[in-house]
Amino acid sequence: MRLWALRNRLRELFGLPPVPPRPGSAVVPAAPRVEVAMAGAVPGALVRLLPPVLVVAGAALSGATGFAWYLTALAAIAVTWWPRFPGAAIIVGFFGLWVFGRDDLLELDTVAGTVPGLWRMAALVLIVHLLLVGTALAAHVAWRSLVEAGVLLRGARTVLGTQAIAQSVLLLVAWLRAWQPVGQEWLRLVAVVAVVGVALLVAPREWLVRRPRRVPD
Amino acid sequence: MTQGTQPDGAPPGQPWGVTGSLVWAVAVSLVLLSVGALAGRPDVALLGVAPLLASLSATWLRPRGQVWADSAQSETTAGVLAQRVQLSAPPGCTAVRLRLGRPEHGFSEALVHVPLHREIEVTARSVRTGPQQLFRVEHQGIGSGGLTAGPVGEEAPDAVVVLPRSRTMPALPLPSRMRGLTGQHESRRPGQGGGLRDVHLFLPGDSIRQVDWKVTARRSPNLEQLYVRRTMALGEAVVVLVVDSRDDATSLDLARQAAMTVAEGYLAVGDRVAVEDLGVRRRGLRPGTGHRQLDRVVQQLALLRPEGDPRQRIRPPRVSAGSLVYVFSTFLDAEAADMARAWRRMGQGVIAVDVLPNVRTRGLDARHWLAIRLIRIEREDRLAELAAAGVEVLRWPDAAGTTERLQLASRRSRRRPGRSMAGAVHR
Repeated sequence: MRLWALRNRLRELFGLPPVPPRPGSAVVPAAPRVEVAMAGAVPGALVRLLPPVLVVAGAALSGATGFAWYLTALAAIAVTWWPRFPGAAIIVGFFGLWVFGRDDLLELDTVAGTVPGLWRMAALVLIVHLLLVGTALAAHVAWRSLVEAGVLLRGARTVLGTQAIAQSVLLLVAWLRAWQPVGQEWLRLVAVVAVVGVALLVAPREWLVRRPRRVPD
Repeated sequence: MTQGTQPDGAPPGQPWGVTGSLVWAVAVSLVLLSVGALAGRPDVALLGVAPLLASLSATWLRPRGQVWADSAQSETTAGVLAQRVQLSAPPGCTAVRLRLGRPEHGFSEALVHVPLHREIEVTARSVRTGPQQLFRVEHQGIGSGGLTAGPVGEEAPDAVVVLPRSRTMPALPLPSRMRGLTGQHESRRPGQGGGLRDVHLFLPGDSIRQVDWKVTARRSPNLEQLYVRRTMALGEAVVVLVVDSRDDATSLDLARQAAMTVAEGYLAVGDRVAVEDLGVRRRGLRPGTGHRQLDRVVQQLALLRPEGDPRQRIRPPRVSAGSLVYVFSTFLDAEAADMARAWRRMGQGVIAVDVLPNVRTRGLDARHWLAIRLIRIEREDRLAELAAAGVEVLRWPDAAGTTERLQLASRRSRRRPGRSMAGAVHR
């Protein structure tokens, strides 16, 4: 591939108009494309490249070390090239594993009376959310497509609403632990019951209803 | 208007399906919440809160119904194809994924924001003229956060006829004979309205207004004889445009453009223009004049297209005596050249317009190169034979050369014995 064609391919990925060939060169210009009039479009390549960045940031915040970085690199490649593949959810599971393998991020510093890992935890909660939503959106975006700014703004509005609740829960948990650092076994019980309740709520009703046995033909 | 079809034949109005990402997000969130709750690690459990909330809201707010798309034709001109796509999405649909394509342009994708109703302008640059297909539209609704997706809908492309666009031609040649007694051009017959033919003695039938009193006073001071100025008659040219519609799309585009340029030039000065098609055995467009004839010519040219494999012509199509015949062809086979020579032998003025575009020979292997060389040699021989037979041969892709040759031909066609050619141009 000639340099001119390579340059135009890159420009096309980022939504820029192609550069004409130099006078006298033998290159054949590419066929013109179908153009869609949109208000403030973002190249699809940017949307596709956001999840791997979030994967790396999430791994750094969750305390990945050594072999974990190889997994992070694989996950970054997977969410870039195969966003439909559930690589994002799997790597979020690994984030949880790495967080679990380290000290409690919400542990109270009894001397200073603060929670030193609070900001890190808040960033991790945000990144995990953005990673899952960003990958789900990237699954609908081709490399050469365009994404209208309105779509991203509406997505950002939804993320903000959810994050307001999630970050409030984080602050509530941090406050509860600071208020009563030990003896929260009753809270664990409540949490487990809540999780079971949510699982029953989320599962589609068809899964919970016994299907009538089929009569063989 | 089209709508998306429900997958698996589900009835319309069903909520949209969830994507695999949502299912996995819910599963991982529940695992994180469970592990965090059981192990007393709220930091682990909190990682699952936001994904679970997002998944739940996406599931509960799943849109129902379908995305509707309707295409309305926009103003399509030569050079730009345009279409308006009207989209209607159900509440809860955050975006619509559009895939728009044409056979010559490939596909373009876009994720557009559709707040219930939206109209989007789609354009594509194209040099093609004639019957065209506009854009094929495929659409899919996307739910909150991309975690739910609707069924895929598809709309067949609309058909449109793109009219050719003409070039500017400063001068066009005239046939050797004019028709009729009215028109814009001076014919060779005596009559009214044209330039001076001669000064002659007054004869019975001459009008007294034709008497040239100065000449009479000089030649016959005693008024024994009266002298009158006799003038030429006016006439109109008849031009026949013969287009070879058997050529490929690019050549046919050039042929349409060339024929339209010539037709516009002649019809603008009141001449009569007819159209014949070498590729079909139907009667062509009869000679006519005026704006409506120009519309008919343009429509006829735009609808030209190859139709099967026509039988070889034995005789050329009949044209009026004294017509000027333009043959628009690539001359890759002998038929168009044979017809042009036949008209020339009958005494018609013939101009052969070569509409073969510049051929790209880059990347050909030795066999293809040999084949193209042989075809080129045959073609050049054919064009040389035409020139030797007295046919003016023009190459349309060479715009400057064509204009110059037509200007020269125009000056030659207006040459009259004993007259200067200063300022003699067509328009």
